[in-house]
Amino acid sequence: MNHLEKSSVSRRDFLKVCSAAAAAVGLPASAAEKIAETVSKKKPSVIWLQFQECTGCTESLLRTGHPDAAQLILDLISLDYSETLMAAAGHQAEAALEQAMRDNAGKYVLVIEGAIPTKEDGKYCIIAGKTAVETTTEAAAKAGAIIAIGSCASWGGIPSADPNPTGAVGVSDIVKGKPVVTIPGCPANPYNLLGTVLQFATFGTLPALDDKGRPKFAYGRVIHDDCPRRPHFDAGRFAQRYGDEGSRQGWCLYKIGCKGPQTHANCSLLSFVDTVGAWPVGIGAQCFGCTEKEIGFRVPLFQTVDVQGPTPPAMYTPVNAEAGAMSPLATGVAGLVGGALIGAGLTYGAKLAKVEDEGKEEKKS
Amino acid sequence: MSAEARPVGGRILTPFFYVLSLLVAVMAALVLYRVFAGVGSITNLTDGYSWGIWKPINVVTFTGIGAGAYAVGLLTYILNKGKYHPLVRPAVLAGALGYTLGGTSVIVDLGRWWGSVFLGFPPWYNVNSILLEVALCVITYMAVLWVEVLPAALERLEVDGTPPWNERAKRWLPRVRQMLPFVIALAMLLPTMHQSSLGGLYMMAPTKEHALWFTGWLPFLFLVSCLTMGYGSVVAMDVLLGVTFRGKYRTHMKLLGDLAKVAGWVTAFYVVFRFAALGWEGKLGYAFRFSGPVPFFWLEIALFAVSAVMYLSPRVRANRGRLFLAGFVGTLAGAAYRVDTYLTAYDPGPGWHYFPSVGEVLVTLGLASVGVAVFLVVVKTLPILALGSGADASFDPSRPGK
Amino acid sequence: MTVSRRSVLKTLAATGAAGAAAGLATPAEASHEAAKLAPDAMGLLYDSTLCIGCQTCTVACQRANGMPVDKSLVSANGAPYDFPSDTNGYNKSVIKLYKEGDRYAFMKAQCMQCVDPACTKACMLGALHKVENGIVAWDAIRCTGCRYCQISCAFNVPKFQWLEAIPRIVKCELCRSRVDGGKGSACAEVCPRSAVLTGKSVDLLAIAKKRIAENPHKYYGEAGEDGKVVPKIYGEHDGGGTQTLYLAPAGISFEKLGLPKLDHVPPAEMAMNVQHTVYKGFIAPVVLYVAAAWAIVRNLRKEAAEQKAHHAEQSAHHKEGK
Repeated sequence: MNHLEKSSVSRRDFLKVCSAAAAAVGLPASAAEKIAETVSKKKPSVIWLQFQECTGCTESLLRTGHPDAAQLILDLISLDYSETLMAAAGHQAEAALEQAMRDNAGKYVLVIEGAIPTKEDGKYCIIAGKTAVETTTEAAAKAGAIIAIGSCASWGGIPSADPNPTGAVGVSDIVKGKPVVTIPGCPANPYNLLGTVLQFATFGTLPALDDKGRPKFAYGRVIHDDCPRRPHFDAGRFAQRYGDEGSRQGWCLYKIGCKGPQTHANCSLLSFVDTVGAWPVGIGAQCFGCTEKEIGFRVPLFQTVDVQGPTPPAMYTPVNAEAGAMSPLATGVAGLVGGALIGAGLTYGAKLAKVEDEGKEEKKS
Repeated sequence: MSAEARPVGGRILTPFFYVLSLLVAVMAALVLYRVFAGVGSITNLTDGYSWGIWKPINVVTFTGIGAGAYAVGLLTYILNKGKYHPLVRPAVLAGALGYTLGGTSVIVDLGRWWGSVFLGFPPWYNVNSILLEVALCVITYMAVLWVEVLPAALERLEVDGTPPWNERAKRWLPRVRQMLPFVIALAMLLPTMHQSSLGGLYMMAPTKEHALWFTGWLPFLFLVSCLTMGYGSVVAMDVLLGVTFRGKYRTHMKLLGDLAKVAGWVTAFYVVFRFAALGWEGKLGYAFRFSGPVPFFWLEIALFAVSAVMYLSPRVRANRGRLFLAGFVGTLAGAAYRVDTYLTAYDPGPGWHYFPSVGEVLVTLGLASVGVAVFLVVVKTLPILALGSGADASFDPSRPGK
Repeated sequence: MTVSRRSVLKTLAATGAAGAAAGLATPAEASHEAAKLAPDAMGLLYDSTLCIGCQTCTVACQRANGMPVDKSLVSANGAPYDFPSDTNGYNKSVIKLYKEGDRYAFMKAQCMQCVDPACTKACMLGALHKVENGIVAWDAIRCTGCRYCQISCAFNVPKFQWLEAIPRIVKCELCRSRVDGGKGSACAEVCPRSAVLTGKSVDLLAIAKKRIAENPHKYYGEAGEDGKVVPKIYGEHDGGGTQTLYLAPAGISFEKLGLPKLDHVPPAEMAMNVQHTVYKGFIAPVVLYVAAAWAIVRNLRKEAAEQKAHHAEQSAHHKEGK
């Protein structure tokens, strides 16, 4: 705990961060303690490579400030190489990378930010004399875990938008044969990264991933399913254009092209910059599907998408609703009256017949 | 000496009358409530089952019972069987009441009953509407029937009326009697039209009516079965009257016996034709798939068949009680056919359910009570029933309507 | 016995004439011409494959038509749910859900605007009538609330206000009289997915066919005479054609969505044939009346003559007897 004590961070604040990280990744509350314990002994080594990117994901990571967690995050992990944050430059930086890969071979977490260009032998991104493809391949070979952070690293992101002149692709297209955790988003949500890294550091396992390598705890559902504006969708209240009555009332943005129904992410649950409501829909802008390869930077902003996934609520009006009352009382009364009348008629006739017969018998005798 | 129609006389306010009045009062209260709270407030009607028991019972069955006027009238006036004459007046009275009750029930059932005044405005008529034809026919026929009852009222007035009413009655009677053949002709035409169309109404619902009941023959089947109902009700009624007014009115057993033979053959014809029509349309198979309303089909057939067999049995015809039963079952058969066509065999689609509410049953009961009560009052005060020696009285053709 | 049979046969003959004529008029002898789709007839196209069940159309319909608050606020499952379980006296259009395991499809229920409606034939005073652009409209003044329209509509479209002292028949009229100042049909105006479109029926039919041509496997189809499954547009011919058209997703039939299976003949056809045959020109009733009047007069005169003769005989007897 020394380094933490030195930076005058209280144990309480430290545990808060661990709890948040554990919760984000879906680990039980007890994991927070374990994380705290592990990390305080030896911080996991993280090598952070950046290629065709805007550094937004790094910035997003740094914008966690309550309580001063930026510092804590950097203290929870040992960020051995980060072109944005490291003090070194030039040959010193190259040396740091090589040393980190050597010292922590097989154990370090490789985080890649940014897309990797592949056209013309990858010459569109050369750092320290090596193409992004080469650096990625080399670093991935000895990594304990590979995480592609942000849409660019996950599937190509903005650089891969049509016509994709550089042939930008995601990490999974370069690294084969090894699991690549993708944490798409533009930017990615920092807690999704944090949770994944800490789980690996503490338990040596990666969270459950979907077929695109995305952690299910964060990307298992679409925005539409967890959206706070969903009641407006269900009630048919839509904003028709920016600034109209509907958008002022905070109504659903589906009609102006919100891609929430098809976008897998947890933005509405975690928000950004540690501020509740700090995500696109929260500030009145339609989700544009930044995590999805088929949608982000592809489907026009105002184009609506199909709603998929979970079935409609069970209480939806069925095609043949039950209608009409059949009360036992009414049944009883009707039966009684009808039965009584018919019974009376039949009895009367039968009696009359008998009387008549007897009368005739008497007459005969 | 021919038996003359005379008022039966006797006390009007009997205990039975009080019971009827109570039922009528309950009905009146319900109807008043319905005027302000809507049709749905006292019924279980829904958009799927928009017609409940009131249409098939209050309208179609009551008028079916009242079709005795038509059924006996056909024999007496068209086929010239004058011997049935003593049965005409009570049948006509029952008809007038039956139709008045039916018409009243329609008004209670109509959601926007005030709109019915436009039934008197031809420019708005939709000549495609079968229901319009039924409505106009029924209204006209109701008037015709009361005109047919008029001679009885005038006769009473002539004898017992205070002046100047007895003079007026005396003057008007011959005029009315002169008009009667043309009124009676109308009374033969109109039921032919609307009794058949009451069945024809359901030709408009091919997707909702069960195959065993839906057919282009609906009008014809309703027409024939209204005859059987008419005969049945006349037979049962005459026996009832003979027992109720024992000593004053004697059931015309011989006449009823002959009428029963006619009724028996008409009923038998109905049963045969019902199956023939089904066979012709290739629907006989449905009768043997015992699901839904199919058991009720067999119940109907059983009722018709039993009544036909009873009518045609000399042993039945010789016994008042059994004859009454034959008429009762015969009427029940026709009623069952109507209720089945309108309700039991009517399926608006999945999810819709209906069973008459207590309110509907009480209104039906109340209306029936009105009919019975008024019938008793009129029979006691006007010359309707042929009293005296009874049996086969011939009538004086120079004074038709007597 | 012989007398009875003869009189019975006579009875039946007298009444059978009209009845037989009625029964013999089958749809084949079409004395009633089924209406055809007019080129400017307005309609609605509902594409269930695009509908997302957002129910904006239901809300817009309520607002555009100035519908009062729905008093029947109980859902089909008995739980309180502020959505109607069907079109009713306070809702002209409703989205319903068909669910089968994991498969589901939405369905918009409203008036089919039939080409040859049964309700306009049933209505006694023509309260329900086709107006310009083929829309089926309801006139309050002429309506008696008899509800025969409900009986005759194969789609159970007209709905009644059961708990009103002054009840109305309520159904979609394609917003022909909007109260909120808008123009055109409100449902189509607000639909975010173009699942609901309104306009000329012929245009909508073309749009539906285009959608099918672009993506035939997306839509529900039925086998034609040659056995080949062809995507079906419900309403193109069903029930004689309706101006409201439906497209269903592949694998979910129209029956499952609540649309009855109909052939190409309007449901009221047979009834109209019978009615028009029997009452053509009102000839049969007049003939029957004249025949009846003649028979009655003749019979009464015959009886009077017989009575006279009988009395004459009797008095002659008496005279002789003296």
